[in-house]
Amino acid sequence: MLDDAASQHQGQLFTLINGDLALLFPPGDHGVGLAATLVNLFAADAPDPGLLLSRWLMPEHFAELTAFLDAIPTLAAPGTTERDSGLAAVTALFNAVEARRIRELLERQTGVLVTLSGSERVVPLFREIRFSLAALEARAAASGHVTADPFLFRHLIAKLDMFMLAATTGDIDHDRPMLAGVRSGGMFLHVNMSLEAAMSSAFDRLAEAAARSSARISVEIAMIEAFADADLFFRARERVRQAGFRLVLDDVTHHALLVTKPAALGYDYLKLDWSRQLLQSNDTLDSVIRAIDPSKIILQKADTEDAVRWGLVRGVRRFQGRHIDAILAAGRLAVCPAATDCSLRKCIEREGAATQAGRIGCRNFALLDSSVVDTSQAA
Amino acid sequence: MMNQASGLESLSELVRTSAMSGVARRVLLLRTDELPPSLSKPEQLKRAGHAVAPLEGADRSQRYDLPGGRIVMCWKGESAKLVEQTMDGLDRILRENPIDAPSLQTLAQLFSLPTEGEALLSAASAGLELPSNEPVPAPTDEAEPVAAPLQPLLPAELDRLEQSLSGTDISRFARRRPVSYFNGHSAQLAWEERTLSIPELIDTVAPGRDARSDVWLFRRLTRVLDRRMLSILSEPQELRTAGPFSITLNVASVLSPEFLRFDASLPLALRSRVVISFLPADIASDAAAFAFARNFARGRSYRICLRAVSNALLPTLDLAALDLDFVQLIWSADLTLPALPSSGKTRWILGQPLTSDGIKWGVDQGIALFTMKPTV
Repeated sequence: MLDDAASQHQGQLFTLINGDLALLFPPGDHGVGLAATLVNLFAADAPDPGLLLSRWLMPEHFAELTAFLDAIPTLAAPGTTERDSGLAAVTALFNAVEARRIRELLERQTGVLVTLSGSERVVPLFREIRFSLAALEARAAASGHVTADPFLFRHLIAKLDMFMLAATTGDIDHDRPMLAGVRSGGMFLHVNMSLEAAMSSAFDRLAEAAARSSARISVEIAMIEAFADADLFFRARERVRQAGFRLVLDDVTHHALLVTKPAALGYDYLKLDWSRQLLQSNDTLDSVIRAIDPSKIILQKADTEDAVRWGLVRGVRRFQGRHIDAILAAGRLAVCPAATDCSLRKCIEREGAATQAGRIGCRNFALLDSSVVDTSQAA
Repeated sequence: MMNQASGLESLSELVRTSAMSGVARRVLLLRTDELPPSLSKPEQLKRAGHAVAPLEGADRSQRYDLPGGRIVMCWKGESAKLVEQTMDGLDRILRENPIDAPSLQTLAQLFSLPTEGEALLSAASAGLELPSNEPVPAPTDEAEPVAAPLQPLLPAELDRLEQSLSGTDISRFARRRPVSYFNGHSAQLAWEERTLSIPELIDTVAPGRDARSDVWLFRRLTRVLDRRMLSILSEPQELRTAGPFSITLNVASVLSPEFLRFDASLPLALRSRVVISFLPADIASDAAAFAFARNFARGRSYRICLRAVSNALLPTLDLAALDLDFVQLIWSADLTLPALPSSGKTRWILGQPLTSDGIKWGVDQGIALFTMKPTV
């Protein structure tokens, strides 16, 4: 929530050395609603949730803030403390993760094509399997934030990717529920992969399993991997192509689009991160998006209607995010005979579950995993 | 055992035979002499030699040992899997030092005979000083004691390493590397790169560990080292008589208290004469933070360099939008320069691993800055 708020209102989030979080906003009332939400959130567990939060207005409360900070050794920018929590969190997570229980850390999300011909239609295109940040943070428990250091996080994901690759291969071979809807030429399965994973023999086994089951696979590789080792990236890209898979360049921010030429990396699709900052008019960015071809863009983290509208105006037709999850779930509920026992939130959560345990309660798995959805009755 | 000079003769004979008979062969040329000193330890050279072992399983496989430690493998047919295994092995060695490492294409080149026979011989003998008639002694593997292989660094060990570094004097690991203006005739010192000898440092504080075995853990480690380096440079006596220099930093390090202290201690004479270098992964990691750090540093009169840019990465950068003062290129035989931004602000630096061919090529391309010693 704090990250989202910082992004939404151009704020900055600081991690204090004692583990507290400080959110700095530009002038305005941005923090008022957030504070109320946080108080409500902790109301059930905290004796006095008001004690969890402090608010200072600058410059009026400068002395109070200084006194508060004086009680703490250092205030530092994210990830810049001499010993931030990242290493401890990553170490704790490695110790906690067992290969056989890797699915508990995974989640799935459906990406769609929005067609504008006739009535607006939403067509499921692919289902992405990835690590759930919430599950990773929960497993690291009190050890700290696994995303505190972007490089440590890449290290963690590179190692976990190897587990996921093996789990995904096994699921394809055994037709497990996690992959329902992607076998035999159904939706594409999007698998996140580090370069290390793409170059491994485990990748060959995935290719063989995909060929056996006619599963169509896209490999998502983060842009930072290509920039850390371009030669290895191009060799991994060749392996992806030789396996008959599509390549998706993942985790591309609009800031990165403005200073790079990602088309030279030779992807099939590019996943652009939605940010509310995109709502500010930017002719340069618009021309960059036109130049790289909006039909090759998947707008991810499309959590609001604003995001989808922004993309559609610019020719983007592929979307993924919480707003899409809600549209798809509403479409399912509209036609599901068991809908009276369900809710939109439950239907979204069950569709996103990567384990059978997470789907318990659903009485219509066929519809939950369906690659066909009728959203015309959802509105 | 065939000596190395005769290895070159045998290779010439193979090329001639292939041209006359039209028999097709695939050839891999491994130029271990392209490895920088940080990747040329005896065990690393030995591993590079062993990396071509998979190709010994290819059809009609032949090996030629050439002067300078170069190795040529020749075989019939494609054997794509074996080539890939070989490249994987070599790539693992290069990834032990991604900053100084040559590109994989520079280290290992593939040729097809008979069509590329001349190119093969040219590349195989390029830069070699061949004795006219004195036989070159065979390699003496047994003379070099085999060091125990280094173990990868794990996150928990990195945690301990970071703690121990905070109490260790690392100034003795500080190194300088010249960057010179070169016009094809004489070289003049432009500035010095201030670095830390990380292999030596790790050998001291975490012997037996390979800090570069994981690119991301290594980047994490460099953040700690950045701060220590900045602290060294902030010592009152350190920069009193120093000339212009460059330092490679993580984006986060530019926003650290250590950088502010360094900035405050920088002598007036060095203002506008210090170059701050970033690495390409910083752009993709957080382009907004990169832009912020660049503008912040430039606002404090530092010049900005993007370093360790390979030929493969170069086309993916929008140099005009990146707004850099320098781009330091990794030299490779296939290097192709795009046009520089019309602003005229950005300049190329041709970096390691630099060969005489590379320097000549750079001068021909109009490059004026090289990571090379000035002419004495």
